[in-house]
Amino acid sequence: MKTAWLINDVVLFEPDERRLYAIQNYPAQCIILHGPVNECLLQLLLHNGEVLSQRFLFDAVWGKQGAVVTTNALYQAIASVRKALKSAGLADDVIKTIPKAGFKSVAQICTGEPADFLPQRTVIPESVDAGHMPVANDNIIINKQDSRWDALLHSPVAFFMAGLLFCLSCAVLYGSLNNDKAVFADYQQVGKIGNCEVFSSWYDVEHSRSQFNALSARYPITCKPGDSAYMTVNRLQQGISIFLCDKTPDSANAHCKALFYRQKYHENQ
Amino acid sequence: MRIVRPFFIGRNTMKTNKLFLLWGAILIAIATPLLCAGYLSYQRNHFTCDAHAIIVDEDAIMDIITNYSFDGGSGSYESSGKYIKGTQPALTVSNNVSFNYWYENGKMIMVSNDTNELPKRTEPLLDQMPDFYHLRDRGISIDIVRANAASYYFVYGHTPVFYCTKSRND
Repeated sequence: MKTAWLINDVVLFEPDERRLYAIQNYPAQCIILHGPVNECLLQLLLHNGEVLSQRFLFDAVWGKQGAVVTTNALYQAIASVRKALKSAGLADDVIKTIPKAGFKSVAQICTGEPADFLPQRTVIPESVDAGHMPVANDNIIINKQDSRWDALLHSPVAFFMAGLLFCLSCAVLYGSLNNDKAVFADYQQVGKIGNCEVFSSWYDVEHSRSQFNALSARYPITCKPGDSAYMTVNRLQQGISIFLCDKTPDSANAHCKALFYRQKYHENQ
Repeated sequence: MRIVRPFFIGRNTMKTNKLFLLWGAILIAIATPLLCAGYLSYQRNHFTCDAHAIIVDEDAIMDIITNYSFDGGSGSYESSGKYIKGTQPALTVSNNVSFNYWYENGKMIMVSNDTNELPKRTEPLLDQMPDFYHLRDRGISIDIVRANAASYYFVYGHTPVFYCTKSRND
């Protein structure tokens, strides 16, 4: 049979479960207490109204485990008890420090089974298990929703989904960048004609050179030293284009102008 | 003898913060490529550029400076230059076309709303230009390919025809 303590009609303490509840929010919100904090509170409530010395608390809380702790550990445990009670909704400071004597609980307490203090509609959920619940080291109110989020954010599935989304996101970016294909990447280097370093879409170097010279005769193609000319032959049936650039067209700050030589096609040719 | 350490105040809070930081970093990692893609997409739809082109016919040339402006589905084309036929004096030519555009299979489809081509009289070379530049409600499909951060190739029928460089204020 589980014993519970109702403190000032506000907070329900279940020492066996090491849990504190605000009675109004039971069982949605609970505070899990560390073992020593739980034991301190229990001892204070068991001796409600009595002054418990530090020596008594050391022996009752830590001594039975053969542990020796500093005074500071006791003060921290008492501080944690106070914070936990406050977090659970208890406005009054029911744990008093008695100078040079110890600590005293001045709470109004009732003991009984948890169900004795709860409205009929509330049922202790089976799934709430202190062994599997995160422990509130410092009076963090843990509710089930937080636990679910915590579990979700830690789950491998969430990381897998995040990885998948990242890959999709990168694929979208790659798709955007992939539109920017290098237009002249597969052009054949024809060699220098005048000052122009000529590249041609046509694989035949000699044909490209003669074509370039013929076009230059129609309208002069003038290059400064270092300029390049990119000739696109017969892809568009209306003519040939030549890009004259001061540097590689895909490099920053390149300047190019386009020459477009119209050609008439005759069916008999 | 065993020393029991006091409780680690705020350890869970730190864990939670680390978890949120981790997921924050993951969300940023997911969002960054999408934002970059969005930025690229925005740039492809909002820019103004200039190109210099010389069109050479059998007995005439047209030397023009063109300006294309794209602004989220609507745009404009402006050109001005000179038309020289044989030994005749150079003729000043210009054109303004407003158009709507959209992307289809990676290519830009532009449909003219209005044109204002000068001179009005028909010259053989001008007449050979695609209808889009003369008449309203005529379409043209152009592949606009980024050359570098500041320039685009305008590819018409697998042939690059303009090298359009972004205006300085773009």
